[in-house]
Amino acid sequence: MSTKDLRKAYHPNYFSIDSILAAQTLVPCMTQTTIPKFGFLVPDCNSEDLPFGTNLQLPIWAARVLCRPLRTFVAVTIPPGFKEAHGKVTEEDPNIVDLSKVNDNFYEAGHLCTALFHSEAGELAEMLPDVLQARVLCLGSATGTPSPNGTPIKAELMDNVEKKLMEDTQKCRTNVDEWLE
Amino acid sequence: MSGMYGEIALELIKELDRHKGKLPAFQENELRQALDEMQILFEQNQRDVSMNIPGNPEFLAALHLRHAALERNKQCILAYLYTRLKVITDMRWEHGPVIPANVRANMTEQEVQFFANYNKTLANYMGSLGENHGLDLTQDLKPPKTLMVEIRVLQDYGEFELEDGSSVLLKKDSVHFLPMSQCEALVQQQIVRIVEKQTSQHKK
Repeated sequence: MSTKDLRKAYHPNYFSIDSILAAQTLVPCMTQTTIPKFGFLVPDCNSEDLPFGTNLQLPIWAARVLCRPLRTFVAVTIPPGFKEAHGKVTEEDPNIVDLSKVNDNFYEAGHLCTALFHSEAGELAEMLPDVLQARVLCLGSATGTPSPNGTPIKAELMDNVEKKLMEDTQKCRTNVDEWLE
Repeated sequence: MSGMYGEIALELIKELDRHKGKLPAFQENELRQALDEMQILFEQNQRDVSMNIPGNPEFLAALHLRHAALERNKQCILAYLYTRLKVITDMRWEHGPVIPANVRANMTEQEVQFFANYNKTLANYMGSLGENHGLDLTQDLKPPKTLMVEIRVLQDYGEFELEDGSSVLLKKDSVHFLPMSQCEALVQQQIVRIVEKQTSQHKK
């Protein structure tokens, strides 16, 4: 009874810890206007106000408020790690790509980035399921069921969603084996 | 980027994430600091709104950013409190109605009260099921395999009365052969341990 959590993503779970941590991911931004009294965000800023054209890193929860279709106070760029990971996973061997290096909550953070107002957000939204699909096939081989891919993924290279899937699959596997004995 | 708002509240969340599924000590200081930060942000926003000409676009950015920080702090604090309560309710199903002392030390008075209320509500509900005597839902969470079970006693417990009226003396390291249903509560409180499950033989 206790191990069934609410779902991990923000929708529908406002209290999801993974989602809160993912929203802290920093994205590169450039201010499109001065922001008064926020000069403290950039260490070597001389004035009290954040001037126009400053480059800084903001967490997603701040960036998504300042970057909207009708009012763009900052211009965001999607962190390159996501696209790179997609490239590596689809073209090279998906087993060895380290998603946890990009982000511990790769899929959740990627999902939040697709909601940012940016021209590549749509592309990113299509890339994420591809990555998931490729990796899930590898996870299958890691739990002992046969799969077309060779070596399974090491735990350090997985993000939290994959780790959880892996755990649950292994638990089910042991339960089924026990029951069949 | 240092000194951004919302970092103290985020520390609360990170602490919970580190102790996955367990209850760490209640961080009252950090909670108060986060609430103080929210108060400061709110007052700054109030000041900006009252002293500025509406429509000045620059102050809107600051306003939105502070509001986002307020919402962020709120989400972190609520998630912190909610997750702790969830851990506490899970404990009822895993350890029974008595909280171990070391966990109790990490709970606030309100959380202890919550646990007591949850126990009461659960007991009321379980008592209302079945006819007359109710149904204990916290037993048999996994389907039981046998009717009788052999147990080894881990701590001195004393006399334990069975349903049929006879009593057994539970002394440390003694082994008994008892019906499963009556041992479950003892197993949950770690007073006894199941030695091996034998094929069911109704021994009376």
